Amino acid sequence: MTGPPAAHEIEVTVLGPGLGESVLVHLGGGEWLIADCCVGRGGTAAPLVYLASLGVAPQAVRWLVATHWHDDHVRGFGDLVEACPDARVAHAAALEHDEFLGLVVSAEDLMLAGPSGVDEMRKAIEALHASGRGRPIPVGADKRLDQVAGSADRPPFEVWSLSPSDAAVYAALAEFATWAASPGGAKSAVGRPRRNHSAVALLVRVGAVCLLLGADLETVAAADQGWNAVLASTGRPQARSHFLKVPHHGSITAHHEGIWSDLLVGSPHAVVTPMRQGRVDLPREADVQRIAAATSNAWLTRSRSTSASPKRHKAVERTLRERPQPPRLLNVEPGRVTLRCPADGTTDWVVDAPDPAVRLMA
Amino acid sequence: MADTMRAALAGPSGTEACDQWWTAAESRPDQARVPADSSAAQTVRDADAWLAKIDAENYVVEPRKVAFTSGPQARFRLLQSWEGRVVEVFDEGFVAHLVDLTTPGIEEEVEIEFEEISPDDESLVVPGAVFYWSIGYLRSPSGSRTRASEIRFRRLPRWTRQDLDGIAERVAELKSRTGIGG
Repeated sequence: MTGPPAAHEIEVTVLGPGLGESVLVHLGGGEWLIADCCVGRGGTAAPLVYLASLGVAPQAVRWLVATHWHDDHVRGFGDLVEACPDARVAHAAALEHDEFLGLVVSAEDLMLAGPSGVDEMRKAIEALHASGRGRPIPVGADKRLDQVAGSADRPPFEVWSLSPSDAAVYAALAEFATWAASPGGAKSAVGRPRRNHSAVALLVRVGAVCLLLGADLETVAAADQGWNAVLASTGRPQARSHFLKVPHHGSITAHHEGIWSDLLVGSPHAVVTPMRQGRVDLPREADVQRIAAATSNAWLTRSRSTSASPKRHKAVERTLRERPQPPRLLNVEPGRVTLRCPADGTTDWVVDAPDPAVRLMA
Repeated sequence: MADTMRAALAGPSGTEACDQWWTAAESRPDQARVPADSSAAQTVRDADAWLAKIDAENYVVEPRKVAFTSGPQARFRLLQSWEGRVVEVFDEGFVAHLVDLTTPGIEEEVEIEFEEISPDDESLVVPGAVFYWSIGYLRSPSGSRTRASEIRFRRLPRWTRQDLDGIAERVAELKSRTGIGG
């Protein structure tokens, strides 16, 4: 699989995890959508590196979507916005509110060396404004972001956001408020988010093929939030998808039987991006078994193999080796799974999953 | 190890000038030696003062260019440092995201037990708390050298009403200038 996809060919490439993860979709006619971003060892936005490897210029990117603001999804997103001069930029509606913008500006006061998700969203907002493209487009449930008719040069396509619901946006704002600066409160960096209320799940239809990009959207008890709300909606396209970017790293918290029974064709192609944060290591073995039982065409972008530690002074390395667990390097080159098929859906997908990607086996 | 280091650093608080600069560059031939009088080097006479400087001024050091010593009684040769952020707290410790201050661009995650930090700092361990972790050599007055690891939490002032007013103003400016939230 070399060179860019043909004008009437769909490609989905899932990158991750490096610092973050990303999904690239060829919309046909040489145009691309990129959801989220990640960087590898060199710090360059991995989607740009991948497109360059195909000989595709950043000008070919039509859409950039930040599905949510968490560190493990948006690292390098600001660079993407800068580098893709013609891209429209969308993000979750919750990020438009003062509760989130307060976190963005108060992060400046901490003067930390390391970047964070709120810093990245600030960078994206500023880059978009500086380029004269205005402001990000806030998206929520059942919103058609784009639609193009087919022609000899390209298949038709449309892009929909399926979430977050209004109720999920309010829940996200309540979580933001718990981190907000308050008189007498301790100054600290924004904590690690525990929920994914405001993640943007996308439905992309190119020709006869539909793709469901699940972001980190989870299943919660409330009927009006998460996958419950998506499944109950009558405002979304009712077509079944042929591909699933498995939500939230394959976690049981993002599982819903209805995704597989109502939103997907039988035995769809699926890709999982692993995630390890603290003691959480996803997908767990039970998750792998569940996903592999649901489809025989599931892939993991990176196997569980560990990566090498950075070279340091011998005394430092000795000190770290004596710890119960040495630090775990996060700057790793993202794994990749690429799938292509004709937009008319007449033939099977061709899958390219180089090491360290692996196929999930039951 | 942290207790040993703190005890050693608790010597005279440094009215005397440092008798020697020790920098990580001395032990890393791949890196240029930094002159002790360069603008990057900070003349700090004892470790507590250096850490207090971080606390007081939100000051982020460039570890390859900086060394600190507690004066003639004990010296610390800094080899490696990180800025850490607490991301998750457990009964026995916490998980932190680390940004390497010695080799820029490297990020890691680590689990740290409470016994590795000062009892004075334990109450500061909450998600989002910021700390600095340093590893180096500690040379005792008798000349013996031991490896030392020190974790020190950053003490930031609490938010004031004035801070909050400033945040609200900056949010309004961001919205007005970029159109976001409109």
